[in-house]
Amino acid sequence: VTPDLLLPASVLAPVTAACLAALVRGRAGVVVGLAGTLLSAVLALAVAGVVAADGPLRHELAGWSPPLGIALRADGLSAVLLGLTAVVGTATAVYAASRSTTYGGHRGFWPLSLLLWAGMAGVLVTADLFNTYVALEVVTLAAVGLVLLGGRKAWGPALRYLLVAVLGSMLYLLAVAMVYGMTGTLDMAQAGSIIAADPAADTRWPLALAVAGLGLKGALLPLHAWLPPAHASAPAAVSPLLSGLVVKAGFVVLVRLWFEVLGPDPGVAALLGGAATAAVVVGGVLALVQRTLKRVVAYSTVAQIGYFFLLFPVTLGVEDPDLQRALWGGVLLIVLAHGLAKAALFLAAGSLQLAAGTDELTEIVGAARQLGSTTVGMMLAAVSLVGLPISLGFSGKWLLLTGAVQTDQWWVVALVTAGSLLSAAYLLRPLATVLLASDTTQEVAPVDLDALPATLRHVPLALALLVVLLGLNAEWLAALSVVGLPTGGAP
Amino acid sequence: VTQLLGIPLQVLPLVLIGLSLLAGVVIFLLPERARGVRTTVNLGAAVLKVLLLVLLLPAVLQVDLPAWRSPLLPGVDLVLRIDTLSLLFASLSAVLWLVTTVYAVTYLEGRPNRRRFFGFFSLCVTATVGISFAGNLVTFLLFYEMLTLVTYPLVAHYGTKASLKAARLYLFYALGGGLVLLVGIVWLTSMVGPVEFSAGGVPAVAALADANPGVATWIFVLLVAGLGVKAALVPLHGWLPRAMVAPAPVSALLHAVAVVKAGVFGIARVLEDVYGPRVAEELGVLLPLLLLACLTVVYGSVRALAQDDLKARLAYSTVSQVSYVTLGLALASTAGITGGIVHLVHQGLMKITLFFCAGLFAEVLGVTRVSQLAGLARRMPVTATAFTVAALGMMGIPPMAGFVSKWWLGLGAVEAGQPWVVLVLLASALLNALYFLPVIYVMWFRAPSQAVQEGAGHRGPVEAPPTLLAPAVVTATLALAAGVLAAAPFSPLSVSQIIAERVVAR
Repeated sequence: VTPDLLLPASVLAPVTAACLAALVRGRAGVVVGLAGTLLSAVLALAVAGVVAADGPLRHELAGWSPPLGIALRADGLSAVLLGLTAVVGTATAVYAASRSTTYGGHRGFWPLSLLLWAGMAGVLVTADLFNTYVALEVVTLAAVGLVLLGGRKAWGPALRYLLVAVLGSMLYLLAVAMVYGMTGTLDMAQAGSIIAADPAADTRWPLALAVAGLGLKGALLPLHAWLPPAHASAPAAVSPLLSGLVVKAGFVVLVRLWFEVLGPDPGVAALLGGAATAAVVVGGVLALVQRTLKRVVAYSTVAQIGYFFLLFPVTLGVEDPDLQRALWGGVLLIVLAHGLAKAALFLAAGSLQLAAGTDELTEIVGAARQLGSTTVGMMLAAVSLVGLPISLGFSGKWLLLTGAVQTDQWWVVALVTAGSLLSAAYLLRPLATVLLASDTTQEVAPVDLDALPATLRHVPLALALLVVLLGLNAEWLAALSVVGLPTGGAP
Repeated sequence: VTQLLGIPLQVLPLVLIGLSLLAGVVIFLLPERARGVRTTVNLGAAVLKVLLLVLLLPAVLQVDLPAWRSPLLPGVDLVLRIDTLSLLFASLSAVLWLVTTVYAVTYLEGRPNRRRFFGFFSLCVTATVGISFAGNLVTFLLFYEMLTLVTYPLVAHYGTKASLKAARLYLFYALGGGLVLLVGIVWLTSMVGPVEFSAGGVPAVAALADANPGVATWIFVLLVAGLGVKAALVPLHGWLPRAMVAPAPVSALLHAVAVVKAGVFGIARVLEDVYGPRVAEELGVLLPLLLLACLTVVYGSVRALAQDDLKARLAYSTVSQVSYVTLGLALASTAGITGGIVHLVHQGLMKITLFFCAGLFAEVLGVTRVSQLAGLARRMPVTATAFTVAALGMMGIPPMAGFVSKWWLGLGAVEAGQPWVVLVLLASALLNALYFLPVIYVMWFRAPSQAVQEGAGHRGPVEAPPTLLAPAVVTATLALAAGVLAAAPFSPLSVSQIIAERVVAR
């Protein structure tokens, strides 16, 4: 047994668990779901651990090399996001297991969430363009199914999500077809080297299609409109999966295509830079005017996605490997911090909603003024999302800013600064509303969060504490995220 | 001393920070009703910290202690270190925190959400101690931003519309300043690597100033502008008068040791320990900073004149007084730096007394306006005496602490070849007298106003309970002692002289 077998195992384990969870009934579903989650988490973390210790992993299925066979691989990018999947997935499963109302009481939650996990793992470890398509579809369908658990009010948003996501997949598939037409292979590395060797290759069209398709899936403004209703109407234990994990899938696939297959393109990079800037600013402003807690958090995701897509313009034309590592590490730490903090925030919002029966901001004034575990978790998560120290969000911001200053990209400095202030503004509004109320005017009775099961109160705090503690030493994580850094296939 | 305690030297800053952090966490974990335990934890941690710092003082004056470091970001360490300046600031904060805690426990008696209050209160002192022990700019920034976050709930404590609004204004001023500071630190780190404080300036920064004075100047401007928000330098002072909606003990510590002092302490670090006075002078940034400080000194005093609300008058007075520190640092002469740094302590002692007293006037008699203060000394003689001592000190009457500061600042101005600054100091002293003397006069020599006469439900002499009164008396005594005993060893002045000499010697 060699460590590279961990790669297929990390996908097969959640698939198998999903099938089993779909077969059993009643409480056994929860047990199978939890067990499958834990096993999958161990495997995902093992992959990350091996990558951290020994560098990138590669496995060819059944011993066949591409282009005949299919390859799996894991590098630093896969490792940190597998780690994120393991942590967010496990936290959400533990949270959901304590009370079935967190997922709408439907036992479909367990097979669907495991399927979503399998899709995520597939996206992260595959080295093949078509398998990426399959894995993306699995993620999408599982995510749509999970949104549906939110009940009748979620049907509309779920349907819209489905249509948008399928359209995105189609555009991506077209891009893959064009790459196959140009190179005759679906293996990322082989296609990349063929395109890189051919100076006449016109990558503009497949890149544009992929950006459109994956931008839709990744909710990059102006392709974001489907996200807030879907994320806000999903049940408490589903929103964190959608926001913490699913939106990252489209981003990762674009990273693979951009750096390993098609190569960077200045025109498309400028376009992505514009969209990223618009996302941070417009998303932030929209988050400011929302009336429910979960919609604020959802629009905050739209804004933060802008930071992810900064990766493409900021790394363009940067030759110095140290600077490349700083910029990559910065963006990937922001992605990771966002996943953890956003999951914590959505879980906390879910707990509050379960306890108060609503998440309308005007209805929950001072609801949590007793300041318990859940609300402290909300505050710490907000610290990381704004990018204040000490948190992983700050570490990522620091690295990104350092890289941007050294490459004279002052627009990034301005954008990140403005984005930080905006995020502070839109997060302060719900937090101040929930946490503070006049001692004299007892408008709303405090919500008794203590009546909730301990898991619902403490899991958000545990995730938020993790974001803060990881910020205490981000050096190893930044180093892990750039293991086997794909520094560009074509010029 | 430290062998006695069995703690490795470089872990000491971590222990001191951890002490306050632990107190905060324990308080959050305790239930709201656990009043006794909470107070014990609070006071226990505060007393223990004062003791540790007192034991450390003689050792640190001889030699800087070794630093504690741990990797934080790629290429950047978290560095905690105790040098003389940090010890001075940490001692000030430890002592003032102890008295403010005593004051706050009684002040908030019977009001809701005390667990939240004292939890954040302890985190606030954690951040201040962290600021004083930070050994490089990034570590400083961590605690500086932490201070912003944990003071927000304290300012907003009452939860009224007005306090939420003021706290939000404060938060955005402070976060904005923090971001500007972050950009400055990122830029500087990108140019010369992580910068560790060293008395008299860092050689790498001097080299940068030599090779690229334009960039070095811009970075300086960003750093000082970011810090200037908390230091309430005009025109970045707008949040300070508004933040008075906070409970009295919060105002007291905000104005005396926590927020505004973190700002000027940061300016001191940047000027003395990153750039160094000589490099700053060569860059030509000292004169603009000096002018800005002078402007703030005069502007704050002029605005204070017009305030009828006592806390507002004190707040504008803070704007003015805190800029004495910047003024002294910007003079860059030994005497000027001495005067600036010693005023860091002196202003803290005097201003906290004034805010304690203002809180007592409001609590006991319901008097919040200057126009209502007439005859107050007849009813609250002890409180009025403490207030008078501190106010006279602020005006710079010898032998009060404020006089010592101003004397050294004036000396520093002449030494630095900027004698016109003496005129600014005199003008400011005059303005101080104009807004404090009438208060003192009516308090002692006028017939009682209606509010004073009818406050507290009867007409006899009335003082606050001892636990509220004692802190004000103690800080007033300390302010007096700091002036009278200025020449004694270990006095704030002697310590400031040592710091200034080390900085200028480089």
